[in-house]
Amino acid sequence: MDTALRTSLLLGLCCLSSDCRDVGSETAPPATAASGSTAPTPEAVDAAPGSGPVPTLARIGAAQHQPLYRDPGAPDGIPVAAFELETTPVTNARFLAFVTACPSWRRSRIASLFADERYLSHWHDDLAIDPADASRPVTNVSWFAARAYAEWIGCRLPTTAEWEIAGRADATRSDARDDPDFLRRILDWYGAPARGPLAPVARGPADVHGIHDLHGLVWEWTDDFNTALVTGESRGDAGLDQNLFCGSGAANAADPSDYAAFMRYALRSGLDGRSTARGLGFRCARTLREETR
Amino acid sequence: MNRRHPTLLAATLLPVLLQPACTETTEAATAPSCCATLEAGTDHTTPLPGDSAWQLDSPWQDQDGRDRRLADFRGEVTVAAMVFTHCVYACPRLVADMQELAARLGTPQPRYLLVSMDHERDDPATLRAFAARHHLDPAHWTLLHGDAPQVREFAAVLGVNFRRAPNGDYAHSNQLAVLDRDGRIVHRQHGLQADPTATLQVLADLLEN
Repeated sequence: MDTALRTSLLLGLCCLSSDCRDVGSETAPPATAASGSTAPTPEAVDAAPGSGPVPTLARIGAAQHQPLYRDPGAPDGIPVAAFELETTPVTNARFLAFVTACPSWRRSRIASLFADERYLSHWHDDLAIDPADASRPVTNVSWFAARAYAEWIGCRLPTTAEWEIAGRADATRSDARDDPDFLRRILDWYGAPARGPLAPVARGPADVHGIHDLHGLVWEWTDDFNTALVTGESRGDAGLDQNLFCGSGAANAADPSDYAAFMRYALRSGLDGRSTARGLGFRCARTLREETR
Repeated sequence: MNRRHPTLLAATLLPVLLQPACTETTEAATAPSCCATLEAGTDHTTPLPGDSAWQLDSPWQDQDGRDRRLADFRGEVTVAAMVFTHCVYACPRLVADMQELAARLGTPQPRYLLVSMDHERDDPATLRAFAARHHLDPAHWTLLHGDAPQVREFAAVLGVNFRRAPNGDYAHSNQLAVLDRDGRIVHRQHGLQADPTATLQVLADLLEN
């Protein structure tokens, strides 16, 4: 990895981990869960999977995913079936509804196995958020928590392949990766320092699928974020040491020009399931039933 | 270094520069228990500690086709790894590393737990055949089969990365984890044929209590 690349990686990731405070959050009155009912008792159990509100999903057709690292002899693309993806990242308001229904995922109660100490640290309390945060993407959420939310609404997290297929669309094309301006816009965001509060979701125009904010707002969890065998938990970035990674000697970079995809790959490599960060959120996906593909 | 701290996310991308050691022992190995009045592993009615891996409550099947929960392993010191039985290179060596621990520990023995990442091919019968082929004593070795989401979740807890290759085999990180009697990960050994000295010491300490 050359020095310039390392530098830009670190720059990009600083956006994610920098400590941005919402200017108004200290003085605004806290919002609480809007149900109007009394708070559940400490003994309350989590609501059943699939009992959460139906999300707004957009359909993305079957496509080929070109993984950044692929095995020799493997085909160029991995076929990915048509699926549905939420049109926006999950907001603080929606996540508040989730932890209201599922007490074990509240900030004060979550098991340390499932989130680090920064989990939902931008909220006022277990069930109190800044009103201005309601329409902003929820961040400071771990992979375990994102997964539990997805189950609650009868969904799952998108796979990395699905996310990357969705993420290559722009306003008019389902695959805009041949357009240098498209990649440049993504990289500009990756390189920009994160300052001030996040924008509300869906502020900008939708892409050709009707999906907002895949780029330019937050980084997003994928279900199989822990597939990277180059960096992350292990050492031996340079050598792809066979003693550390079975099968790793087989990995070849596919398209080094897709810098943005490499950045996302590197980011996911640095996470573990408990990780939370100010710039890391998620959205949900759903497998299409056979007859609707 | 606490690698979970978010401000160090960027640093975790370059771990080779920062963490050259091949084994690590987490704070839980040395920190006094918060529940000092209870001897670890003796009271299964108390809630599991918040960092216990045995909180994952998905149903598994062992090599005999029996339904198992991870909480079943509470009370035992456990050495856990993720493998797939069609693996021709690393997994047999990872199992051999665990057998080496077993040989050097003598009595008492910990529980040896192999969780398959190959949910499609590694059904209980296949796991049983693998255990027989490698002479894994069923009194101490448990092999588990589960579905794709729970395997992915267990890997995330253990810190094992893996992905399925187009030919159906898996690329994966090679790692042993040591868990205390309450299922807390207290030590990891990275790589094949790593120096087991630190791992043996951690196990000996845990087995004494």
